[in-house]
Amino acid sequence: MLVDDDKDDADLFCEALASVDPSIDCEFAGNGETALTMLNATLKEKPDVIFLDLNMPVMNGWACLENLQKNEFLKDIPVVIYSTSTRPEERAKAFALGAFGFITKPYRFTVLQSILSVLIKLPIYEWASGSIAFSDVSFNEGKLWPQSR
Amino acid sequence: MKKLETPIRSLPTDLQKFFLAAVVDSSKDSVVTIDFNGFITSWNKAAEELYGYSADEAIGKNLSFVVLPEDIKQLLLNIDRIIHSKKVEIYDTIRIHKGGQLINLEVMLSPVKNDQGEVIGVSTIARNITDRVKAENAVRESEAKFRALISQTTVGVYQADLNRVVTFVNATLCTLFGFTEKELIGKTLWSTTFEQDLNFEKKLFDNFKETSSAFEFDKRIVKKNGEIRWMKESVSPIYDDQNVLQSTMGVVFDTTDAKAAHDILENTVRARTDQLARSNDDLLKFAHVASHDLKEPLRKIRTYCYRLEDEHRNDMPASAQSYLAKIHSATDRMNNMIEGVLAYSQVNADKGIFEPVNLNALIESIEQDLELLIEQKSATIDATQLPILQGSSVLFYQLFYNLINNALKFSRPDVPPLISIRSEITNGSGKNYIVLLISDNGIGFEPKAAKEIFESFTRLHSKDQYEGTGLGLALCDKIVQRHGGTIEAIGKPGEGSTFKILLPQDADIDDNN
Repeated sequence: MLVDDDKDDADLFCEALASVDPSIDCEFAGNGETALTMLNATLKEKPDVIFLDLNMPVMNGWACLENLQKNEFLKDIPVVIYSTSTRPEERAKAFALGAFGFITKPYRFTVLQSILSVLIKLPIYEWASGSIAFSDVSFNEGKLWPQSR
Repeated sequence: MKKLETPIRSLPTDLQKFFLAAVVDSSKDSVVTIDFNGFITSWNKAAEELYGYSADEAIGKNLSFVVLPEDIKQLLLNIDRIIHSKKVEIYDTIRIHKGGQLINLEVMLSPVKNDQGEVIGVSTIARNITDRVKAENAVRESEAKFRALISQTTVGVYQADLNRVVTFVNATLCTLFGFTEKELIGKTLWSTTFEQDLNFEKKLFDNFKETSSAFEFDKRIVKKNGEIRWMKESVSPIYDDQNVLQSTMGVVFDTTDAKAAHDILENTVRARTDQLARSNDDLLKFAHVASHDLKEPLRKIRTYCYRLEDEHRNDMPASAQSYLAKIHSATDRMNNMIEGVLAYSQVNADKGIFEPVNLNALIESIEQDLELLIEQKSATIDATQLPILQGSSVLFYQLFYNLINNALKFSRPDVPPLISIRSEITNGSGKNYIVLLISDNGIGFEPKAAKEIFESFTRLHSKDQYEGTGLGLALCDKIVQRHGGTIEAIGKPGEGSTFKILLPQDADIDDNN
């Protein structure tokens, strides 16, 4: 699932994902509130990963993340922050709130493709310790990546 | 010489007279005897010297010949009193010397008696007191001058004892305090001091009593009409002839108006400075918001530029490709500028994160970030053991990143850059400063540009020669200022540059910068 208020970014993301692995479904929500509604009620099954933007109207990424962590049913879904922010404080804050990873939206479409291709291919229960060589991507040490499809 | 064994009185009368005559003659005081009518019957040596007339000239004359006309009557009255066995007190008078000058005398009149105890004449013993009178006059004159000065002066003057009891005030002080002379003399100066300033004045005065050194201070007084005025008072010691502190002299003048004007000025300056700081803040906020909001659309432009290039390069004619390349490089530059402005505007935004920063570790991580460029240029960065700095690690990172990046960027072609970073401790105006020196062997710069390069958006080269926004050093300057320090550049064209940073050792984030 991708939670982002920017339609262009959403399209780019889904396109990149589809180009890497067309079998993966991508759900979309325009802000944190819509995402929660979908997760709690309308979605048939939980997503494997939630990619979460930070700057969104109605409910931003921070509030959404907090809500997800409080929800018994939803807190196990790994959340990867997907934001334009480059600030280390925001990264630290995201990890403190329980985010799994933090990706700075890359300029290049090809870079996004590479990131996603690596992410979805991570083996089961591998500890992601920041050994991935993209400076745009970082992982919260100690959090498990779910079993991939 | 044989000691006289018998007293004079028991000697035969002749001998007695000799002795007495000898005594009179050798006396320092002038001894003149006169008969009942004032005619001189004897005139001793001292009289000769005092009046200037010899005994021959004087004897037989009437004493009045050396007396001032207006005193003659009194003299005759005095003689009369003596004759009638009445006492005459010692008195001062003025008599006339042979040469015409006036002499001041202290005169004592006494009766001359015969063996039967009858008064047969008057003896006058006179002592020259001219010098004493002269000295007294001089003192009186000087005192008069002094008092005139004190009374005419436009500042208040007082004299007070060591308990601050007033013994003298001049007219101006009375006017300043609004009290009459009578109301002030005998009262202590404490009684006129405004109560809030009393303790301060007392402390200063206690100190003065120990040190005897003159002091000056400002205080408020309460005038008779209740009005409060600011005064500047200067207190000086007065010593007695044993050089012991005896009393004080004070000079007071009213500084109320001057103070009011000064306060107004200070307030105006403060208000303007605050205004300036606020408008500065507003500008920075604006720069921050503008640059932040500009990043979004710019990101989109770049994303789709890249996509065009990556996916449609082969579909595009050569001209389209070159146009795209130009758009690309322009957006890259724009991005750098926005990043620069954003960083610059953010220096003050973060409220003083004040922590110890390991400079050597910081530089190592910068080296890692610049790994590619360092390898490309075959550069060496040599850092000695550097001190732990106090301040914002984020800001220090930006500072050193910019300086090292510049050193790499502005290297001489074909000369591998050698960057050295070292530190010293120096002392200036009582404070310790850490000195950090970042030197390189690059292209350097003209000494006259040393200040200019720290200005925002100032570049010494065209953008085709060396890329850059011109904000790097401005940012460095701002960061250093924020930590209470300074940065300066020393350059030699063709040889290299050194950047010298001074930071106070006890650094504190300065929110006013």
